Amino acid sequence: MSEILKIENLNYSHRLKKILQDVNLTLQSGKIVGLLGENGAGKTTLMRVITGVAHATGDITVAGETEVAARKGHVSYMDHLGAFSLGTHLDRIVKFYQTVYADFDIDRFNELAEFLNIDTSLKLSALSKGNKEKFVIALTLSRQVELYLLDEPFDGIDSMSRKDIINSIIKWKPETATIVISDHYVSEISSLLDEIVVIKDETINCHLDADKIREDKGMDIEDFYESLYERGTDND
Amino acid sequence: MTSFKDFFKILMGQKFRQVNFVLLINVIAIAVSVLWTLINGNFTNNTFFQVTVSWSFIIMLWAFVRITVTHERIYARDSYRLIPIGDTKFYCTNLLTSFLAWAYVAVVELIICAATATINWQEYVDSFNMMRMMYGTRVPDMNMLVSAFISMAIVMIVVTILAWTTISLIHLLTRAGSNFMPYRRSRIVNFLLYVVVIYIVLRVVGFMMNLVMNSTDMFANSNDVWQFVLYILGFLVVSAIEAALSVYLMSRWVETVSES
Repeated sequence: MSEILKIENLNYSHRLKKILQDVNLTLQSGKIVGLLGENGAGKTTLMRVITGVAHATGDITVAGETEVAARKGHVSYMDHLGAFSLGTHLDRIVKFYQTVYADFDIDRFNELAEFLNIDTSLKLSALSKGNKEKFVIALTLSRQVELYLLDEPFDGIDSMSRKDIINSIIKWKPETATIVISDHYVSEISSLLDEIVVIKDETINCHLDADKIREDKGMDIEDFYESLYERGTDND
Repeated sequence: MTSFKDFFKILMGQKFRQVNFVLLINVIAIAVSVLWTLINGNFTNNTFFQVTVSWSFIIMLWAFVRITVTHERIYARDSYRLIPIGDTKFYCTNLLTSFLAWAYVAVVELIICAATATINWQEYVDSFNMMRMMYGTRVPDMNMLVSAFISMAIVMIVVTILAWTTISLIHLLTRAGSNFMPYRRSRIVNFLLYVVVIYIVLRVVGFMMNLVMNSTDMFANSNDVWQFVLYILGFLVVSAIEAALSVYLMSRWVETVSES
């Protein structure tokens, strides 16, 4: 196992509001990590900063690379396809990915598309929210990189689609790659996770091994996560 | 890392499709206008040329606006900014593809205008010769017309590049500036920010242009061609300064639109 992500002394503010403060985090390769926190805790921001589309102070190293352009080559982040008009055909977007990402594996994409029942002859406008999410997941997982960042992949989609996405993550996760999944509904992803990272009060509240939580604390991840907020309420 | 060739292919393909749509509308507009003239009984040998020239200005402007919207959107969208490519290469490829797409429209418009002019070519030549006979040297000869056309084309190219570097600088400065504005009433604040940034950038660019004009006048007031070359170089230097500032803003301050 090697170090895939290292964040040191990261601080981020936006529109005069502190979002992340003094964030330090190290992730090893080959893990599935749950990035948990309330709405607006800074999960998406942290992912955007890692990819380099948002700027923060501090040091970020991904697979040994610190320079932003080089870092982007090692991270696959869920792009919500906002740059494409609703009339764009999915196969054109796949072609876009194939052209701009040398690590995009079209065979893997075709397998994922078949597994998730994605019809690439459709236009973006013809996709339901769940199907669009599946398409985005298929694009994201079809790149062969060391770090995958899945930002709330189950947000607003039905339970069947959720199951499909979870199964595709399990089935297509490269052995040495690390997948970070952000969510605020822990129950959906708890069975997948090797580790959890909780963002609370603008920083990393805890970074723990999922098995240790179950064994040492005798709690499942959902209960443990909720207990963090109960304690927080008491303190308030 | 993504190569220049692949990134160029993607951006060029997208802008090429956009301007082809504009050109398709142009052809339809010309056909409808000519048909309308026919129905009204006003059709002459001149109609095609007149209609084509009239539409070409509107179409060039529309193409410029469409390309500019895409050009600026590319700086602010995850789909593009997640691509592993350096900011300088990103900026230059975006500018180059926008320019080529616009140049393509200009060339196609020129060809269409020239093609429709041939329908009544002899009449234009006769009119030109008649004017020369009547007014003598006050009417420029063909060589002068060609020189004027080339100069105009060069000025158009440089002004278009300067327009894009200036628009991008205003856009990126505003996006960067909005990071330091409060969340409350962000629309009003952004609008005011845009007004202030546009005013400041246009004043600074105007000052730089004056500086360029005055310096070239000082160096070359006796030679028109040399002065023209210096003006053009001056415009390009101003564009390069704006481009360098924009790349700096992209790498340090400008974030994409959060889509999640």
